[in-house]
Amino acid sequence: MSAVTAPRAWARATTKERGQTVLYHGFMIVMVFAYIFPALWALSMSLRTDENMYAADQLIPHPITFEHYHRLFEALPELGRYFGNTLLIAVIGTAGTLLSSSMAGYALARFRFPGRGTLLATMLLTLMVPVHATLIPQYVIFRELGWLNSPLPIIVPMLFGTPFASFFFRQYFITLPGELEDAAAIDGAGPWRCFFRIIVPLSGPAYLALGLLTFVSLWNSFYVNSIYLTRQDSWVLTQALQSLIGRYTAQYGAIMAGVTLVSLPILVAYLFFQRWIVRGISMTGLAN
Amino acid sequence: MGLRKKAFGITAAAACLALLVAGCTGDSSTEDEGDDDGAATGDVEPATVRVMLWGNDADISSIKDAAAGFSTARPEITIEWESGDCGVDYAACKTLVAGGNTPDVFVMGSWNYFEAARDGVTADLTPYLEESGTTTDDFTPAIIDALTSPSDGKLYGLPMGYNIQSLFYNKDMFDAAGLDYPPADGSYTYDDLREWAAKLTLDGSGNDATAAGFDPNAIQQYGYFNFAAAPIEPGYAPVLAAFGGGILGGDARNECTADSEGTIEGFQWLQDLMWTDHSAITPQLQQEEPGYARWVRGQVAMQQGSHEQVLAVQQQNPELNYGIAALPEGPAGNATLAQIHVWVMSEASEHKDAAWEFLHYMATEGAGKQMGLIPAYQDVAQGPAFAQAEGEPEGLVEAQIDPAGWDLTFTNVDPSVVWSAVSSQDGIAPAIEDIIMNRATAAEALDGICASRIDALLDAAK
Amino acid sequence: MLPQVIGLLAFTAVPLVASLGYSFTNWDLVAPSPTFVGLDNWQHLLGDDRIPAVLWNTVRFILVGTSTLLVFSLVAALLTFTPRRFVGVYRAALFLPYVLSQIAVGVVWRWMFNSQSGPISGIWELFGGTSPDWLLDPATAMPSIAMVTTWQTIGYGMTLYVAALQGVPVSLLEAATIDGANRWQRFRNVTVPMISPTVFFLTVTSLIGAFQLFDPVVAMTSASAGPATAGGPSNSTRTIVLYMYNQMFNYNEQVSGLGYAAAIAWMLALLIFLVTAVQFLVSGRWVHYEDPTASGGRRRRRARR
Repeated sequence: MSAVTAPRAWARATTKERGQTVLYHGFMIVMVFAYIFPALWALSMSLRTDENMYAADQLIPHPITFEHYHRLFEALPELGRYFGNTLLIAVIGTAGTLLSSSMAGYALARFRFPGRGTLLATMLLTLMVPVHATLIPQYVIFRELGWLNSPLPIIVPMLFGTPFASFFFRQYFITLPGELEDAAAIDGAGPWRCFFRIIVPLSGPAYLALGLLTFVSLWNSFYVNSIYLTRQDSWVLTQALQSLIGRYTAQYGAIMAGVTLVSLPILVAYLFFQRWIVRGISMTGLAN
Repeated sequence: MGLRKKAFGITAAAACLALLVAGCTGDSSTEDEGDDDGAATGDVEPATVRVMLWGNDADISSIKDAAAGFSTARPEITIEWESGDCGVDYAACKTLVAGGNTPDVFVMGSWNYFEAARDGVTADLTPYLEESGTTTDDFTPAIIDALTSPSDGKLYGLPMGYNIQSLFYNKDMFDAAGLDYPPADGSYTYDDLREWAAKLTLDGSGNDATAAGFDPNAIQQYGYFNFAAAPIEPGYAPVLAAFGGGILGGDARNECTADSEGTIEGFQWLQDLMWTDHSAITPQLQQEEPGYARWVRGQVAMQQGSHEQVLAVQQQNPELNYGIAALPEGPAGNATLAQIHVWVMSEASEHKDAAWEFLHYMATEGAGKQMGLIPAYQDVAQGPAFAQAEGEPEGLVEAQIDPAGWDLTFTNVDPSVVWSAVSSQDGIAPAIEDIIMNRATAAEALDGICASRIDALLDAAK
Repeated sequence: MLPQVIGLLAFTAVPLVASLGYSFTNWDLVAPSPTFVGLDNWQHLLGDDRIPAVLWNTVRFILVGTSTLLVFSLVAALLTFTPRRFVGVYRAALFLPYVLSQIAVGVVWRWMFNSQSGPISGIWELFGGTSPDWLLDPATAMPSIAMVTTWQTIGYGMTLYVAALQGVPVSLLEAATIDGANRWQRFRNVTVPMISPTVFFLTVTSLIGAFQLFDPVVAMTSASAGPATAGGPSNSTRTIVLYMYNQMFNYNEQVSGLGYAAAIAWMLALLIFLVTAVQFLVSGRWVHYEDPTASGGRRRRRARR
């Protein structure tokens, strides 16, 4: 889009328009820089010597060292495994949420069935009761199921869909015209056939938008994981990073190196998919 | 209406189910997954023992290394390692207990050791100890005393080791200022320390804090750091004790002495260094960069800290030329704080015999080199497991081992289970913040605090 | 649908209802089972003089946090919703803080807020003020935390607003221009009503989040990296959920562990429910929903093939 048309537009632009463009980009660069300064600071901490870790003039580290990345892999030799565990939880959890929540959302959007009101109310309530209050009963259930130290306590509830995601999809599906489904129904297609053949292909952006939000929260979650995953071979990345902090000392260089490595993939994904994400959100007609 | 009734029925049934599930924890918890090949030595059945650890990566591998000998000697007992905050944070233990998933063996900090014992979470080890032939005399007396319950005389754990607050100092800075090194045995006073701190604080033009032209806004080198700036107990507690005070006193540590003369003087000493002399790291500076990190990289001349600082130097600045000395003498004498890490066994464990074998090994034969602590078993601490280990600074024995025998040395055990409330924002915390932030003098901040805040918390716990 | 219902019931509704059940019991979590105490916890809740204090802390958070989030993410969206060169990069950069883990956010912002060499204090002093101690001062600690939370969520709010702004029909804006409306009038009378559902959605969700504030407070005010010592200075950042957590694990004065914590949690849920309900009631006056079927054809469609 703009990347292709812009150079031609630039050639055609008047001096005033050019000036405005330069002004705009100048302003944006300053603002964006100020805004992401703390994040750049974290990145920069990962490249500093311990001696310079907190020096105010070290945004661009001098000297630059990759020692903390080295130390990170040395201190956590099984980093690859934690990466794998995190990826497994994030991918399956996201996929599961998308599938189930969209099905639930579809049912809530299109069908009237007994208990729909109760179900909606329950889902709303779960958003309002703080998670810590339901921690213990949940823990007891998962222990009874023998799921501790496996990704199941985190993944399985996601496979049944989350309240937030179900709402999100419900709002989205309400905005889709019903005519296509009606036509399919006349051709003898059942509701689920309708859903997978017609609705899902139409909803790519919504899936992408919600997928990203879910993925980010699973990728960065710490507290819940630290309760269920106590065997070191089942750890996720955030737990591994936390283990670099002692009671009276901490290896901040290595922690920031870890944070950089952990955040980078998501950021790149956002950069590539944002167009669809924005479109997905814009079509939900939020909170009707 | 019908629907509503039904919904209520489901809700009520679910509530009953959940209460039931929560109520019958423990009967179906761990299954016996014993090895059937390894022949049993002694009278212990083959068993798998779940051991939960906390700490950073180095702490955890140090314990696994120390346990290697046990696995060789007792192949019939399989150790299953876990990591979790239980022991450093009692809330994490409670989650495990409530969920019926307590590990067989774990590590308690002295700060919540008695809370777990009171709650019946940890098992009484006295009978096991009697049978084993090991006696309490085999351990450092002050440490084993601290772990012996004042109410029933029982022992609910064996020490993994302890750490002691000492003075770490930068030799190069002392040399440059023409000062003698602090005597390793602690034969100097808090007045001396204050004077050195001022002389070791330098501004941009090289003036020290006692000089007329000293500019407190351009300090390049600080004299002293104490974790009181954070503020945490291991920082201020030794100072208060040396001045004859403390926030809690009495044998059971459940009498408020927070507004006593000694407490006020101790806190005032800390405030004076920060705000009158400008020789100590303030909370603002601590927030900018932790004081210990400044000491490690060579911006601060002295800090009060535990043995963990030795490891921090090895990791972050091996070049640092430093020494270590026992903490100074205050008006009441020499005092320091010992924190103990304790091997404990779950009361709910189904493999108590095997768990005891492991715990006993770790506290005796396997003692030393665990979490960088001073071992409390016999004289192990004097040997290669601690005092003669590589990379240790000189003065280690006088500064880190001998003070355990001082009269005023105390352990932050909490036999009355009041400390978490007393140290919280409902208790002493706001007053301490006012002192270290220089919003009030120590006398003002602590005036009548026992009557107005602490006593009610102590009464509530009784 | 059935598997969903069963799953939701098993993993969400059962713990939820169980926690309501616990609010009528006394359980310190280590006793073998809870003891039934009837309405004791609820009675105690009504007389607990700390509740107004922690609620007030939450309100202070909302006053700064929610308002700045609504405004700043709209500004960010207005600056980046028009497709042109590099906006994708700008948006990705503004989204960056949203993907950072709490560990990094806590460490970095503690440094950012230090009054010695911290950039925030530097900017403050540039305008001639004496910098406050931010996180160390009871007056500024909560607003500071609110600013950090806003900083972290702007990217999310911006993404929602960009989507809404791109959905504003060009025809309406053109019609307004023909009618002689200036830029501000067009924004005020066309754009704002058209994006009001997004403002509403963000308000509702950010208020729910604000009432449940916990992690950032622990990350930025705790002396020992745990919730037990968080909430300072001078109790100025202790939130409802932090108070609930401390009661649950008996860090503070003991009331009844999980039982009392559950009562607090349900009181909070009730409060959130009321606040949300009021928002929905009032929303009729200012939130404009376009009829999706009627406007579908008029929406500005962007060529993205």
